[in-house]
Amino acid sequence: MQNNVNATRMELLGLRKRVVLAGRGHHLLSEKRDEISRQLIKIARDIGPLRKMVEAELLETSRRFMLARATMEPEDTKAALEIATKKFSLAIKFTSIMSVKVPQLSKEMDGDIICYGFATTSGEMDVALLALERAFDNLIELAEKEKQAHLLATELQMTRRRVNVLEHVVIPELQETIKFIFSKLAEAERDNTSRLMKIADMIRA
Amino acid sequence: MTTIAEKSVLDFCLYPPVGEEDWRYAFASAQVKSLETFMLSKAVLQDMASASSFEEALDLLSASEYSSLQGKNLEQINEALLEKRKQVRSLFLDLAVDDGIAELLEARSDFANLRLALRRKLTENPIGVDYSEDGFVKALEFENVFEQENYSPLPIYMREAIEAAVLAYYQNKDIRQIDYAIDAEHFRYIIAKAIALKDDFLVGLFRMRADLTNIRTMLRLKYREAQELCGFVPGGYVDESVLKHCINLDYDSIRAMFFSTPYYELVEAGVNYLVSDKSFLKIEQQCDEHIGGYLSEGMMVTAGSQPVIAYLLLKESEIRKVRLILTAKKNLLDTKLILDRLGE
Amino acid sequence: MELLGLGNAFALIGGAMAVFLAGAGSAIGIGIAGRSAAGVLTEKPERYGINFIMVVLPGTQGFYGFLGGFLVVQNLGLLDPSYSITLSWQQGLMIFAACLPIAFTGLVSAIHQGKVCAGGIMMAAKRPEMAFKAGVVYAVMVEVYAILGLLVTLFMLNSVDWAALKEAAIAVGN
Repeated sequence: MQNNVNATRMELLGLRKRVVLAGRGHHLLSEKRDEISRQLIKIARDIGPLRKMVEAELLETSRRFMLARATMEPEDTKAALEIATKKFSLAIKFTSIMSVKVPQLSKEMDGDIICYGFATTSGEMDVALLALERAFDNLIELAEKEKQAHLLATELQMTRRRVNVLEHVVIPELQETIKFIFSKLAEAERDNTSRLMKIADMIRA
Repeated sequence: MTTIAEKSVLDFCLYPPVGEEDWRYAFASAQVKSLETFMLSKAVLQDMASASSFEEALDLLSASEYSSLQGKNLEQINEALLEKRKQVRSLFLDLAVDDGIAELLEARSDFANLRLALRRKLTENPIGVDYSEDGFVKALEFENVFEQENYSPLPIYMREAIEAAVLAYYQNKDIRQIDYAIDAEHFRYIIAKAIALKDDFLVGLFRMRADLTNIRTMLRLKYREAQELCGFVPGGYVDESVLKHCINLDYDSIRAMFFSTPYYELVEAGVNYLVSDKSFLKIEQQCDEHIGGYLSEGMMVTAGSQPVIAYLLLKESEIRKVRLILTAKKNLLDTKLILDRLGE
Repeated sequence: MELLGLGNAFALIGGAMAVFLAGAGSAIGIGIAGRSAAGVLTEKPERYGINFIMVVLPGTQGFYGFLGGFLVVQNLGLLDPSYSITLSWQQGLMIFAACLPIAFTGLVSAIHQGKVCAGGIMMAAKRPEMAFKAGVVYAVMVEVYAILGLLVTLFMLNSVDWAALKEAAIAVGN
C-alpha cells in the first residue's frame, strides 16, 4: 500500500476519514459479533438437552416398535400400518435474527396416529406411536433450532473474520499509511525548509 | 348375523373346561405329543434372552430344530421362521380330523387379508397382490374377488364381515372402524362356529381370548385417553359394560374390578407394570402365559382335538418368541426387557 | 314240554358272546393304542420296542374270551365226533351265565386298556424312563379285571358236571 500511494495531503485527509470509518465499522461489527454469539449460545444451550431428549425418545420409540413388530405376526403388522390416518404438513417461514434469515417451522397434524384395531396388534405399538407423536414436536423444534444455530454460526464466523480484518489488517495498514504519508510530508517540509535556509544563506553571503 | 349364547356367570376358576376326549384323534394326539418333546424349553429361551450377543443366542439354537438358522442374517431368519410357521400350519391341517376346526383356525389369515384389502379398497389404493396364502380363500381368488368387486365367491361369514366393515367405515370415514368391525366379526364368527362344532376347548379358548383382547383394549384405550370407547370384541366371559366402566376408574380400582374373574392376577401384574414402566409388555406376556396355560391343559388330554390345536398355537407362540429374542438381540435391547416379555 | 336242544343253544350263544365281545373289545383297544403308537413312531421310530408291548396288551382280552368260548365248545363235545352232549335248558342257561363275566369284562376292559396304553405311549414319548414303571403297570392294572372275569368264567363253567354228561352221552351213543 505504501508503494503505490500518493503522499499528498489530500490522500492523508482521505485516509484519516477512512480510519475513522473503519474504527466505527469495527466497533459496530464487534457489537454485532457479540450479539450473535449471545444469541447462538442461547440457542445452543437449548439444543443440547433438546437433542438428548429427542435422541432418547426416538431410541425408545424404535425399541418399542421393534418389540411390537417382533411379537406380531408379519401380515398383521402390514395390515395395521400400511395405510395411515395421520396427516402431516410442514410449513416454513423466515424470520430474522440479527438480520440473518432463519427458517421457522410450523407443522400441522391432523387425525389420530393410531390407525388400527386392537385385536391383532400389540400395545407396544401404541406406546411407540404415541411417543413418536410426542417426539415430533421436539424433533421439529430441534430441526429449527439446529438450522438457526447453523446459520448464525456461519454469520458469526463471517462477522468475526470481518472484525479481525478490520482490527488487525485494515486499520493498522491505514494507520501505517497515514504515518508514512505524514512522515513523507514532514520530510518534504523539512527538505523545503532546509533548502530555503540554504538559499537564504547564499543570499546573505 | 349369528349370535353367541351368552354365559354371564363364570363357572370356572382359572381356565374354562377343556372338553371331552375324542379317540378319532389318537394318532394326531400322539404325533403332536412326541413333537412337543422337540419344542424349546423355557430354560433355552431364557438362556437365549440372557446371551451376550446375537451370535451366542443363535448358537443356543443349534441343537434344536431351528439349527438351520445358523449363520443367517435377521431378514433370512424372519423368512425361515415364516416358512417354519407355514410347515406347522400345514401339519395341523393334515392332523385335524374335523374340517371345521381347520377352517376355524385358517379364518385368521382370511380376516387379516380381508382387513388389508378393505383398507386399501376404501382408501382407494390399489388392491395389490401380497396376500397371505394360508387362508381358507386362496390369495389369487381373493385378489380377483376384490378386483372385480364381486364378493359372491367368498364364504358367507366373510361377506357379512365386509358388509359390517363398510357400513362402519362410512359412518365417519374412520379407517379404524374397519378394523374394529372386522375384529368383532372375526370373534363372533369363530365363537359361533366353535359352538356349532361342539368343541368345548375351542369355545373356551376363543372366549378367553376375547376377554384377554378386551382387557388389553381397555388398558390401551385408557392409556391413550381415548374419547370414544370402541374396539371391543364380542363373546368374552367378561361383559363389555364392565370394561367400559373400568376405563374411567383409576388403576387401583381396575384391579379390584377383576377380583372375581380368573384374570385378576394377570390384570394386576400387567397394570403394575403399565404404571411403573409405561409399557404393555407385561400384560401381553401375562395374556400369552394365560393362554399358554390353558393350551398346556388341553395338551394333557390323552386324545382329542385339544392337543392338536394346543400344539399349533404353542408352536406358533414359540416361533414368535424366537423371532422376538433374535430381533431384540440383534438390536441390542436390554436383557431385562426381553425377559419381561418372555416371563419368568 | 320238550325243550331238547335249547340248552345247547344257550350254551353256544354264551360261548359265542365270550369270543366276540372280548374280541371286539380287544380289536377296538388295539386300534386305539396302535394309532397312538403310529403317531409317536412318525416322530420317534426308536420307540418301537416299548410301544409294541403297549399295543399288544389290550389283545389279551380277546384271548381270554377265546379261551372261555373254546372251553364251552370243547366240553359240549363239538370237537369230538364220537359223542354229543345234550344239556337241559337250565344247564344251558348256566353255561350262558358263566360266559358273561369274560364277555363283558373283556369288552370294557380292553377298550379302556387300549386308552390307558395310548396314554402310556404318549407319556413315554415325553418321559421314556417312565414307560415301563407307569405305562405298562397301569395297563396291567386294567388287565387284572379281565383276568378276574376270566377266572369267574372258568369257575362257573364247572357248575355243570361235564364228566357225568359226557359218560351219559357216550352211553347213549353206544
